[in-house]
Amino acid sequence: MTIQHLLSNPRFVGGSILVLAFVLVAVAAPMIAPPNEEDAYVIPSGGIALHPTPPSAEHPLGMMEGKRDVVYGLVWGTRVAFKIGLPVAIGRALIGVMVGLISGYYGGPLDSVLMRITDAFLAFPIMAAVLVMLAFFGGGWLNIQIGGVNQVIVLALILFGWMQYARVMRGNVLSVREEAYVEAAIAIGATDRRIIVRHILPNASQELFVLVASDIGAMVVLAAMFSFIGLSRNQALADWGQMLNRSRNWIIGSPANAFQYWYTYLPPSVAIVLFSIGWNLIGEGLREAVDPRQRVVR
Amino acid sequence: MITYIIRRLLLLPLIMVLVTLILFFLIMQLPVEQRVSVYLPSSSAAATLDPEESARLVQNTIEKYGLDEPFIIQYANWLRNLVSGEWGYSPTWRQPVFEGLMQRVPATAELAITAMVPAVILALVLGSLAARYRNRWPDHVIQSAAFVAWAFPAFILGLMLMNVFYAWLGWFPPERLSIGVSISLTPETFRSYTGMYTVDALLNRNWTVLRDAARHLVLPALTLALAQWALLSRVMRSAMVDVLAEDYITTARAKGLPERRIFGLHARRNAILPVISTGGVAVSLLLTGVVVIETVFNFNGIGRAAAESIVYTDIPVAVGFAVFSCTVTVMASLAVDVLYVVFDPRIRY
Repeated sequence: MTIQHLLSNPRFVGGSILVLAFVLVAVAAPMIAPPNEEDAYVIPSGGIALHPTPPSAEHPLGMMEGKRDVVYGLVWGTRVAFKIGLPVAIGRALIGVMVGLISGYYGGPLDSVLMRITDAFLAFPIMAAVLVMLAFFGGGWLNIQIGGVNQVIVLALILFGWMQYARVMRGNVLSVREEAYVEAAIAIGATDRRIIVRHILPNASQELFVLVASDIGAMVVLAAMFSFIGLSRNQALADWGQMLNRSRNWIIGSPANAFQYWYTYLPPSVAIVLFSIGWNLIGEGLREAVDPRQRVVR
Repeated sequence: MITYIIRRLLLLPLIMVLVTLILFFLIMQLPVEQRVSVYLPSSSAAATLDPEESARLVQNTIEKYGLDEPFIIQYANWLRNLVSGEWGYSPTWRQPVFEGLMQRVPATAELAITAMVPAVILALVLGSLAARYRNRWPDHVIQSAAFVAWAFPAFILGLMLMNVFYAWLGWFPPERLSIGVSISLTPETFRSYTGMYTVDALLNRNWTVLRDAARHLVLPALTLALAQWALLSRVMRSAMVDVLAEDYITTARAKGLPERRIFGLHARRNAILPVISTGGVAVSLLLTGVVVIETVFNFNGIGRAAAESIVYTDIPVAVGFAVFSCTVTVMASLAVDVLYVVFDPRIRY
């Protein structure tokens, strides 16, 4: 997998451009939408309004009820998206890599026990896991909103989502362990740590990157879905899922025009879909680069 | 094959124990006062409003169910309750959780079946069509459609569909039945056999209800089906592409078999195996989809109940949904393993 290889892959390039655009928005958030409350992740209210306000020169995408600017929510919501996607994907990868390494490298009864635990977690549907954790801890001590992100969701998505990483890692360890160069390393007395860090991890890293990239997009969608089905309603957070949840009241429009309030639900939807497409394209591009069988024949 | 299936069946309780252990570990993280709610058995118990009396009730329940016992004993007690159908009492439903869930299962089953049957058939047909015309226009069209369907999260797709087909065109309303129709249903005129309105309407020969229920099913089923179709048709296509590169396909071509026979008999049967293996992922996706889509369309099934359980912090319902969906997943993985053996011509036990 070389850089040129990736840069000639249209999916990877397209995805990278999309994601890069989101990164820019997230970094420049204070410049694009200057916060005027102490918590920048709460969309500031410009006054009392029961209905959304249509777009104007000052508010290009209009305002939600309570005169909350849609653009502001989109911009700061980008930061929220990264604050969910990155920790979840990295957390999953860390746990999975640890479990897979230990399982594959040491083998024996430890391996069987760890793999049975992995199976049990695999049988636990992610939806049920997150729902249960939210019902249990959503109102309690764990429900800390750090920068607009509900940490219960992040924790639940990590705890119930590391299994695929563990399986990939274990498979890699098992195949690499048989390689001559690893035997050679053992023969010259390399330590376990050196073998793992120098020989096994680099070999597995490509597949892991594929998983991380597609997980980031998928996790942001999942988290948005949980805010959508009714979380943290007490504050108007700059969170794409929650913005969509609020817009549900306006999806019917008015008798004269069904699409009258399009600016309340269309912008956050587009943001979520583009974010997920971007990371998916990167993931698919990486996968094609890693696995030559998947390359499109031209 | 029979011994394999029996061995696989014997594994079932073990997986269930492991899964419920994870769930019970989470339950044990709750303070004891909250854990009591899972055990409170009857309406009179939860309806007690007098604070002093309810404190005594909590204390009694802690002692009665041994909520201060060691983990393993508590787990065994809890599991025994689960098996005997005592899943606690829901304060928001004012009804036992098991009973409440079972009332909502038919609606969700109706939705799931309506979505899954066409989704699976279309995935198999279009997926193999895409592989057959690989890198030509039918392939590009199907692949792009699958990519878009996969990229659109169910809740966004659902909102868009509702915006267009309900708010604008007024064709397909949300919920399960129109108010006018649901009021007209009395136990004398409309007997409930399955709890699925479309099936019951057929059995009752009540065409008004049938049409109304079907109309309400269209959008949620379509939303649910699209993601499933996208997932399965992509798997089917890549499996078909792999199979078509196999030597036995070349052999079949060399001996002059017609293409139709090669595809239908040799290729499709082998390509279906990866699709079966995807069954586990599909069921997980189905459970997620059901929760979201029932919420979007205000469809009164088990999924909407699960979503509401976090809004109202109804712990017994959340636990009940978790037990239910774990059971579904474990059963699905059993079905996947059995089907795989049945369909794979290479595996013979």
